[in-house]
Amino acid sequence: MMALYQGINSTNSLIGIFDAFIHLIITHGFRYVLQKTTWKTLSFLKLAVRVVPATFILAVLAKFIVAAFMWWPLGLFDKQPFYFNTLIVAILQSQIILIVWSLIYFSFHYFRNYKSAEIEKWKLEAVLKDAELTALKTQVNPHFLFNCLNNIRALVLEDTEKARDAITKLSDLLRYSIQYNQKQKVTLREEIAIVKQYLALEGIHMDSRLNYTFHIDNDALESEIPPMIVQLLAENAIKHCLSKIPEGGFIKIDVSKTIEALMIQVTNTGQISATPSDSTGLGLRNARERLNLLFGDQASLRIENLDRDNVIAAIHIPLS
Amino acid sequence: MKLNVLVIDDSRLARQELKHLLQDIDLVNVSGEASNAGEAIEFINKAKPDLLFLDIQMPGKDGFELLEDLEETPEVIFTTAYNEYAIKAFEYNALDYLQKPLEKERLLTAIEKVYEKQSHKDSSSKSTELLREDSQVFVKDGDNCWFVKLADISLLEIEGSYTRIYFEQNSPMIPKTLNYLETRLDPKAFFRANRQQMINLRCIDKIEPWFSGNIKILLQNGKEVKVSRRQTSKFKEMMSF
Repeated sequence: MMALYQGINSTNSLIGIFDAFIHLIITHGFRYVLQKTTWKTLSFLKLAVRVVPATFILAVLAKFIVAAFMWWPLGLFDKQPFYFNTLIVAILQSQIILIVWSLIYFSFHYFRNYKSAEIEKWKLEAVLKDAELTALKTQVNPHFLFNCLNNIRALVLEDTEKARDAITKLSDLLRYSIQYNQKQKVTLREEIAIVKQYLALEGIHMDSRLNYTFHIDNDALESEIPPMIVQLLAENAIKHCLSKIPEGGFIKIDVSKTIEALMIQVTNTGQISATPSDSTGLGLRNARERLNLLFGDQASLRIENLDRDNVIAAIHIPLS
Repeated sequence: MKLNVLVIDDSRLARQELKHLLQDIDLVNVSGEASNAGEAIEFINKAKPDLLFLDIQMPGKDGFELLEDLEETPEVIFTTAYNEYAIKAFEYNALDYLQKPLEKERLLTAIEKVYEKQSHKDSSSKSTELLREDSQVFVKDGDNCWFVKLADISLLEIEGSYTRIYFEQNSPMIPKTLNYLETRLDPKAFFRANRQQMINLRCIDKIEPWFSGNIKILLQNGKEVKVSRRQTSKFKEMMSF
């Protein structure tokens, strides 16, 4: 009696171990298949609609393999009858196990995705902040600012009226550049006025080395542009070209307006290198982004060497 | 004694401003001004000023390039509007670096420092055609800059068409050939040990015999220099009297 009981007991543990083993293989296989699907991204309801039948199929598969194992090599059905009801219960038990497994699997992935999505969001925010900061920093070139103040100090002794005038011009320029990121658009009239102040101040520093002319269509004066964009081109022309040439040179600013487009061209003495410095590259990229945001992808900003002595920067804004 | 000063800045008003500040300082006498590197170099070679006020950002050659072109650099005080050059290492023979607009007190301190240094210099040998031992050269290696006193250089070595100089823990290169430097350095102080190297005689630690009658010189910085056969006899001759 004891021996028979132990025999049944050891057969049962053998079935239990085999059952666990089959489940292990099936969950591994399931996981392998899941990795190739997009189920992880589905909502809970859609996921449930898929997981319940899938686990049922897998449970049936598992129990049929176990039943097959009991039939051969154990040969248990020779000794005792096969109950269909027992099979159904076993399948449901198996399915519950698989559903619990799925719950754990999907909630783990859900939290992991949530975390990495959060990190992505932070990264993006950091990049944006960074871009904003660089934009802020490039508003007024500090080299220009301090040279300007130093020149005004000397002018105070030499020509009081001119010194007073320069302080006003610098104030205008600073006010404009501090306020500019509060506005999306300014009129060309406002922008050109500031560029004139800026060039006048650079003219004090560079003396006869800087010459500049403006040709602005009267029709264009009320057109709207992103602020500091012509200013940026004028500043780049001085920083990267004119300030490096001992004899100096000229800047020519032309604005024309047709029915189709507004064209702003800044032509200056000098040559640009194929690879702009980081800060310039950023300034230009920022300017292009602002143009595209306001006027769509058709708006453009191009800078290139016009010929061997001159550089041209052209802004094209379609008006239709 | 007054320091003779050259003011170098591309902006006329900036020069004006500096001259105005300097006019009240008794230690200096503004002997000239220049608006670019070319003018400055010409003036320096001719008038040999004691001190340069040098703007770094200038059209054409900038302030550093100007200094690199000089055979012997006077004392230098840099004046600049904004330090975007990240001048990191002026550790050696630290010099002054003033930001515009200049503050009078800071300017005076800087000048006093130069004056102090200058008054310790031996002015007796000023007439010689060769570079003196207390002459300084400007060396820039990447982001690092030094004003190196010739007396502090222990070894000069050929490095392609340039020369590597050794002083303290540093060994930057200067864009001049060793052969040229040999013609400019005082033979009483510097000795051409072989085709590749020149040594500072004051920096010798030990002299050891090497094979076939040649000698090997150990420098104070631990470097070993083998003296060529021809130069060995010259060295012995020099040392015998």
